[in-house]
Amino acid sequence: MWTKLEKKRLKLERRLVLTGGDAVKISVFSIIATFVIFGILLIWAGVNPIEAYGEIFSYAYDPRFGLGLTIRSGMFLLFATLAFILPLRAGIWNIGAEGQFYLGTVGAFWVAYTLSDLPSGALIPLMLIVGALCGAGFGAITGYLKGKLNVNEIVLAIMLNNIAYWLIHFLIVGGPWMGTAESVSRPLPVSSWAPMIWEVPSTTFLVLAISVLLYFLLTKFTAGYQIRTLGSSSAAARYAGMSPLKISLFVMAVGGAIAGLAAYHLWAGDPGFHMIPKPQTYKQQGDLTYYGIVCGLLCVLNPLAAIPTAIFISGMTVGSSALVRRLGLGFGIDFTLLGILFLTLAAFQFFYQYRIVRRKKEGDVI
Amino acid sequence: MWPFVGKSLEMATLFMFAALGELLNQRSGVLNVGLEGLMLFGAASSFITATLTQNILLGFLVGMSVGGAVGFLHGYLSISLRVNQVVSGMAIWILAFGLTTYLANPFTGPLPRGVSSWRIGDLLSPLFFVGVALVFVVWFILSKTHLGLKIRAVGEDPSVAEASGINVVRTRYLCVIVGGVLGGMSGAFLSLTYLGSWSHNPVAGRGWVSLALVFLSMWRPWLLFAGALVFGTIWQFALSPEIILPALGLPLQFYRMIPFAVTIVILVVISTERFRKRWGLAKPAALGLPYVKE
Repeated sequence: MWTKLEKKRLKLERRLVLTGGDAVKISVFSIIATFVIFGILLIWAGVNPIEAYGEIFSYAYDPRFGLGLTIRSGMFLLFATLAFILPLRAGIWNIGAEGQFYLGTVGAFWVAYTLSDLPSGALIPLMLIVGALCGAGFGAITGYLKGKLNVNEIVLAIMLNNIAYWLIHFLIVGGPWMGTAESVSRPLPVSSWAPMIWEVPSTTFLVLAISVLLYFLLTKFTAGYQIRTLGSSSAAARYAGMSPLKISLFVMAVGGAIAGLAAYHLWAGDPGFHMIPKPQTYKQQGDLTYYGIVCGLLCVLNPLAAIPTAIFISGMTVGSSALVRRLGLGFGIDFTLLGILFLTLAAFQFFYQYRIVRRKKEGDVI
Repeated sequence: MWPFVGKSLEMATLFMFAALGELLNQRSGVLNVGLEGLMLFGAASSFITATLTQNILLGFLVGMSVGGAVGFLHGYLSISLRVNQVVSGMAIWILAFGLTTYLANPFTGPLPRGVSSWRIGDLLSPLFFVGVALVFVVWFILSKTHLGLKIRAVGEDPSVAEASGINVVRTRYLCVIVGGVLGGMSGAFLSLTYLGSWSHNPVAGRGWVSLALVFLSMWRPWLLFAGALVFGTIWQFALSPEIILPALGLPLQFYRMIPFAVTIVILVVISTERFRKRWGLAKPAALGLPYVKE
């Protein structure tokens, strides 16, 4: 397969170590390749790609248009990304952010409905805590079964996501939380709305703080070291006396808690909601959590790098959904862009193991 | 009652095709968690083709070819580029989710008038019997032929297989492409026969349940067949429980949870130490590991 390359004095070489800089380069190259491929799709759809990219960026990052939405949904994506990153550092795929987010929704809304008389100062923290606990509990199911019985965590999480989806469906469609309008929940009490700071929901600062905390947890603490050890070799972790079950429970519970917090951020922080919307809409938000996977892989599982990456990906989504309105492109174009990004990134992972180097000229002195 | 049986068997057919393809994949050591995406691609491409050409057969052929192409893509990423197979499979799923929404959304609705899939006595698609035949064929190939031995050898220990003269790369490619064709066929069967219409994300978790079915079958085609029948019935029951149990007044949503809950319970049971020891899972030892010839 590589014979042609070799004739051109370029050679494929197996990497021994992957430095952080190289990983960043690979991510950047895969973004560039994505733009090229997506550009071809745009030409095929009869749109000038330069104009389209102009529209995407000018809409997504312009304070008059999409910037508010870019930040809000970027922070939601950041919750999902962090929920994905931490378990994968321990070698566990957390595909369950959708379900954990739904459970967080159930927890937060339960508090808001039953304790609606409390003042904001008590109600909001309680909603956050209970939402996080519910998400953590749901994540812990996967963590326990993975750690104890080595059940395939991906299939398990998808099953749990579907169960959680129907749980919310039950609560709002004909169930106890049914609102006055059809298929939506009762509105949240005003005292439970997230206060806005500089026109963004205050939960933005919560998720930024979690990013920093996770970074320090992973790099500076024993627990982080154990997580990373389990991630690189479960045998090594066991020989060193670490308990894979405990670590797996821990990362999945914390991941689940983070995804659970996303629920309050979205429903109480976004003035467009302040309730659980109809199933189609809350499912759409739940589907967004899967882009935490793309985001997490793109930022090479680094919680700090996740912040700009999430803003970037969310900008791409918000901007390309504007293409639907502005240039008349079909529905689903934003998810297509992210899909191409994911596939390109997957292909570029080849360069995590190999690199192309220039061959030494024959006369070179070694 | 009979329509329920027919629909259940059709649902089972769908699981059979998808899971059989995945079983073949996994027996050769390649894990494709993008099965849901494969089915989406098959469902969308076949539906668009059948709508535009008014031809069901052509729809199926295109769905299967697209499935094969996506299978090849997964093969290229995971066999030739040696990318993490979970990453590649997830990428295919996420791409399918976006791209099929984008491409097929204008076609939302039922198949055009006069275009309909074949059914025996208006009850059951003949493809059910094709599915049963395929289970037999896959079982026969895997356990009785030289090719099957090669596939299993490649899935167990690719370096030993290579040393004994088997072309690992070619065998794996063969399996992922055939697996892709079967996944695409399952998707085509869903949109053209079972549903006969297109709406947003019609696969709705069936691909994931098919993937789970492969684990539950312990990589044996006949157990997979039994599993497909059971899950076909459970899923159909979850969709229309009133046909079987009219008296229970439980909310519909609880029935919808059943297939997923049952999957979890069985996954947990087959993963217990006792079960593993007693039944000895035929899990391919090299499953999910890229093969590096160096």
